[in-house]
Amino acid sequence: MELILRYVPYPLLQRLRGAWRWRWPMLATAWAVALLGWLVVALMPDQYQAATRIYVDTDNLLTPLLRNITVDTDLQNRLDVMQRTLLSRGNIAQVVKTAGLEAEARGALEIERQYQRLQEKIAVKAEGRNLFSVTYRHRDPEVARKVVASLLDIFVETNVGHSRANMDDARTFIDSQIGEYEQKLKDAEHRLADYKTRHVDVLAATGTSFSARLDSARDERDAAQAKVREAAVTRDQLRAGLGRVPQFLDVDSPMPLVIGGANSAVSPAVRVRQLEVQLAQLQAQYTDRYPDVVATRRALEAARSDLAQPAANAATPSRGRAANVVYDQLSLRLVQAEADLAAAESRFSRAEETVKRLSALAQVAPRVEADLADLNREYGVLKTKYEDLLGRRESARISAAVETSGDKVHFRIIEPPYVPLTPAWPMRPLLSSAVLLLAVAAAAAVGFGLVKVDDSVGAAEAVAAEFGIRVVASVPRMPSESGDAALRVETRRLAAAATGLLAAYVAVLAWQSLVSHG
Amino acid sequence: MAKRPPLALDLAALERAGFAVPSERFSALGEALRPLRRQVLETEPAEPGRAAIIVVTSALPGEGKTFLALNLALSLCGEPGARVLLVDADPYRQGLAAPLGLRGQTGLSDALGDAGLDAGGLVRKTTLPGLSLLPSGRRAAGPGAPPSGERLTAALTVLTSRFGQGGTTIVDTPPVLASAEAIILAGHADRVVVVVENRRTPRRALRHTLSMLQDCPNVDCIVNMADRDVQGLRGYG
Ligand SMILES: Nc1ncnc2c1ncn2[C@@H]1O[C@H](COP(=O)(O)OP(=O)(O)O)[C@@H](O)[C@H]1O
Ligand SMILES: [Mg+2]
Repeated sequence: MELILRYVPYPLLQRLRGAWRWRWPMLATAWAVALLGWLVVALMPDQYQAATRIYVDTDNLLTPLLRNITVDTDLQNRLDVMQRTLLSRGNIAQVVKTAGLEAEARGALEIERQYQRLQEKIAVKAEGRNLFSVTYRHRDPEVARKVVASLLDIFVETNVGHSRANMDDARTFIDSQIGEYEQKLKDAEHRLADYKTRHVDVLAATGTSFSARLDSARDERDAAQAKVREAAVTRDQLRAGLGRVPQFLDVDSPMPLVIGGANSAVSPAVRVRQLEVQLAQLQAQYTDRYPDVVATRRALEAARSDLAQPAANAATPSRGRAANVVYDQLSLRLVQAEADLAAAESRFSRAEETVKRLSALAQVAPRVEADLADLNREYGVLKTKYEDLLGRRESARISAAVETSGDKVHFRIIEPPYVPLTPAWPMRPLLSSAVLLLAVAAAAAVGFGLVKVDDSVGAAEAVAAEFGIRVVASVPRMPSESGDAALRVETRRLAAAATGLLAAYVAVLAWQSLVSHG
Repeated sequence: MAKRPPLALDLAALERAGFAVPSERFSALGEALRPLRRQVLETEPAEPGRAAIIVVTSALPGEGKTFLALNLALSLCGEPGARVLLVDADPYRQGLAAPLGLRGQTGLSDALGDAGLDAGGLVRKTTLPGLSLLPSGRRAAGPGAPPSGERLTAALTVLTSRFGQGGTTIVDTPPVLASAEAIILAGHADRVVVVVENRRTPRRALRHTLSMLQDCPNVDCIVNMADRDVQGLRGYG
C-alpha cells in the first residue's frame, strides 16, 4: 500500500486523504445519483425506429454513359438533393396524412411546427455508393413504420423521374458532344488535306526517305555528266579523224573502188533509193530533228545531187575524183556523236535541276514531315473519340430501350420499412452505464468539493502557524487490534457498498434485457 | 486505600490495543510522545508540595483525549522514578473504564456526589509500577446535573496534595465545547494539552476552544491522527 502511495503525487495524495473522511457521503452520493439515474432511464418513454434500405441502381443508370466524360456524380451531392426534395413541405404533408398524424397538431402554427419536427427527425442517409436508408423514430412503432413507408413511396417515385431526366440529360449531352467532335474532325481533315497539297513535292516520295531520293538523283546526275564527257571525247576524235581523211579520192580506173559498205560503192540511183528507204524508216521512229534523221537527209541530198550530175562523174572516167567513202562514214559518225552529246547534255542538265530542287527541299522536309505527323495524330485522336461517342450513343439507346421495356430495376428495396421489436431509444444499457459513470463522477465531485470547503485543521506545522500554539507531539493513527478490526469492518462495509452499487448496475442491466426481450 | 489490592493491568492487552506500554521494544507512539513527556516531567506545580496537574482536553468528542492521556501516563511510567496518577474526569464517556477494566468501580463522580467520600481514598494503585488510577465513578452524570466547580477543584486539590510533590496527575476530560468540567479543570492545571485531530477538528472549534483556555498556563497542542509520511513515521520537528 505504502509502495503505491509513494508514486501518487503529494498534492493528490493529500486530496485523497482528505476525501477519505468523506467516503460515506461520497458513496451515498454515488448511490443516490445512480438510483435516481436508473429510475429516470427506466421511466424514459420508448421510441421505436422504423427503417428502410433501398438500393438505387445509379451505377447502371448513369455511369457507363457518362464515364470519363464528366466528373463522377458526387454521392454527397446527390444525397443532398434527395434529402431536400424528399423532405419538402409537400412530401411531409403527404407523410402526415398517410401516417395519420393529423390529429397531433391543430392550427397553422402547430402544423408548421409538426412539419419542421418531422423534417428534423426523418433521417435520410447514404450507407454506401448505392445504398440509402430512411429512418424515423416515434413512440408508436406503427406510426414510425407508416412514416417511413410513405416516404419510401415518395422516394421511389421522385427518383424514377429523376433518373429519367438524368438519362435524357446524358443523351443530349452526348449528342452535343458528337456534333462538336464531328466539326472538329472535319476541321482536322481539312487541315491535313490542305497541308498535303501544299507540300506535295516533299511528300511525293511515299515510302522512301527523302535523303535516299536525293542520293539517287545525285547518282543520276553524275552518270549523265560522265556520259556528256564521253560523248564529247567521241565527237572530238571523230572531228580530228575527219580532218585527216580527204573528202574525195583521185581515181584512175573507171571503176570506182569499193572500200566500205556496199551502199557507198553502189550507183547514185541505187543509193538515193536506199537512203530514201532509210529516211522513211527513221522518220517513222524519230522526229525530223533527230540526228540520224538529219544525217540521213543530208546524205540523201548529197546522193540526189550526185545523181543529178552524172556527167561530172562520167566526165572524168579515167582520172576522176571519187567520193571518199571513209570520209562519208566518218562524217556520218560525227553527226551521230554530236547528236549523242546533245542528248547527254540535256539529260545532265535535267538531272542537275532535279538535284538542286531536291537539295533545296531537303532543308524543309523534316519540318514538313513532323507537321504532318502532328496533323495525322490529332486527326486520329479526334477520330477515336468521335467513334467512342458514337458507340456510347448506341449503348445509351440500347439501355434506354431496356429501360422503357421495363426489364431494368433502378430501385430495389433491400429492406422494406420495418420496426424492430426493441425500442431504438432510450438505449437503456448504454444510458445505465452512463448513469453509473455519472454517479462515480458525482461522488468524486462531492468528495473533492467537501475537501475544498472543509474547514478542518491540517498538519502540525499549519496548526502551529495558524493558531500560534506549540505543537508538542504529532501522533499518527496507531495500529491496534480493535482499531484495525474496526477499520477492516469499515473497509469491508465500504467495499460492500461499492460492490453493491456495481451489483445493482448489473441487476439493472439484467432487468432491462429481460424486459426488452421478454 | 491500602486495604485494596493493586489493580491488575493487562499490559499485553493494552499493547495489542495500540497503547504505548513501557517496554524495551521500540514504540513509535512512545517516540512521538517523547517531547511531550519531557515537558510534562519538567512542569512545576503552581503550589509547591503537590503533584503537577496536566489536563488533557480537546474541542470535541472522539478526538483522542482519552487515548493520548492513557498513553502519556503509560509512557511516563517508563521514565525512572516517575509517579503518575491518571484521573478519569469524563463522567459522560468514562473512556478509561473500558481499556483499564475500571467499569463499575467507585471513583471521582462518587466522591463529588457524596460529601462523605474522600476522593483520595478512591485512588487505586496498579500493577504497573508508578501508575495510579482514579476511575470516573459509578454515578454517571447526566447533562441535567451540572457539576459543581468548587467540589471538583477541591477534589483535585485533595488528590494532588495527597499524591505529593514530584508526582504527575494526568486528567482526562470531556470536550471543552460540550461540557463545563474541562474548563474548570484546565483553570487549575499547571499544563493544558489540547488534542487536535488532523483533518477533523474544525478550525472554528479549535479557535473557540483556545480562546476559552486563553487564561490557562502552558497550553500546548497535540496533533492526533497525523498524516503518516510516506517514508514512515513523521517525527516531531
Ligand atoms: N492515534 C490513534 N491511533 C489509534 N487509535 C486512536 C488514536 N487516537 C484515538 N484513537 C481511537 O479513537 C477513538 C476515540 O478516541 P478517544 O480517545 O476515546 O477520544 P476522546 O476521548 O477525545 O473522545 C478510540 O477508540 C481511540 O482508541
Ligand atoms: Mg474520552
